[in-house]
Amino acid sequence: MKAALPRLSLDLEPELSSALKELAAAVARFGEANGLSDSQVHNLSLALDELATNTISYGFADVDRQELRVELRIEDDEIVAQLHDTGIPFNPFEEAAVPDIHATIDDRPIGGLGVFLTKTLFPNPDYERTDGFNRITLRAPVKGDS
Amino acid sequence: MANGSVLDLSTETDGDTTVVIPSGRIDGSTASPFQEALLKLIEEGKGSLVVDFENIEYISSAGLRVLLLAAKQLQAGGRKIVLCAMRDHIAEVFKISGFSEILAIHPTRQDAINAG
Repeated sequence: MKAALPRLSLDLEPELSSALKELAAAVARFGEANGLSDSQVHNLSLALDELATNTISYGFADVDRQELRVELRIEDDEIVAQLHDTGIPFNPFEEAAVPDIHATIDDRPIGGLGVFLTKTLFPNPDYERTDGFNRITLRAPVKGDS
Repeated sequence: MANGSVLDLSTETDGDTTVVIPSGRIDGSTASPFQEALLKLIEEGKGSLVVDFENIEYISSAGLRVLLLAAKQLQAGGRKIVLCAMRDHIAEVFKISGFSEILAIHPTRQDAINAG
């Protein structure tokens, strides 16, 4: 299929409500243009939401320069999603605690699931810190509508 | 699919069971009003709390957090939370996170009320 929107770049406001709204709309647009399955659009939307939410809620605290850019592209039958942010240096895939998903209601701590969901949906994410930006890359094979 | 961080909520009661029917997206920007609403219903109610997901199109970890908090509150009072009518991709999020092991999830609202 010829992709009508092979590449999408989006600068998000450091305000959670509008950022999540724009992000969801952009991922839906990208998915539709490239014939991605509903489930794949959902997973992409969820993973980017979790990462962007963490950046806006925690990464930008005490940081003057607040820039957050999301880039989506299809490359060699793979979806490549990147987040670049100027938040405090933080590799969520190394530094976030791993939840015990078999704990009982009483024993289960509140929170800490976002990074876990992201990692489960997009195994082997990349992280690097360059030029004052945290740069995260998620990849997944393209799965179409059928 | 409607995009945007909007969450509406309606409630019904069935005996001692409170049924809450949120609609829209439960994400980092709507989780806080969702939490307030659930905790208020728990405080005002006596029996189980059924959360009907029929009109929920999306939930992130911020929403899961609220449900766990509600489950803890209810359990502390010898009550329970019962969920129902989830779309497949939402059920998958509950499965991955282990929440389908600790929270009761039923296919329909009536099943959930009967289990409550």
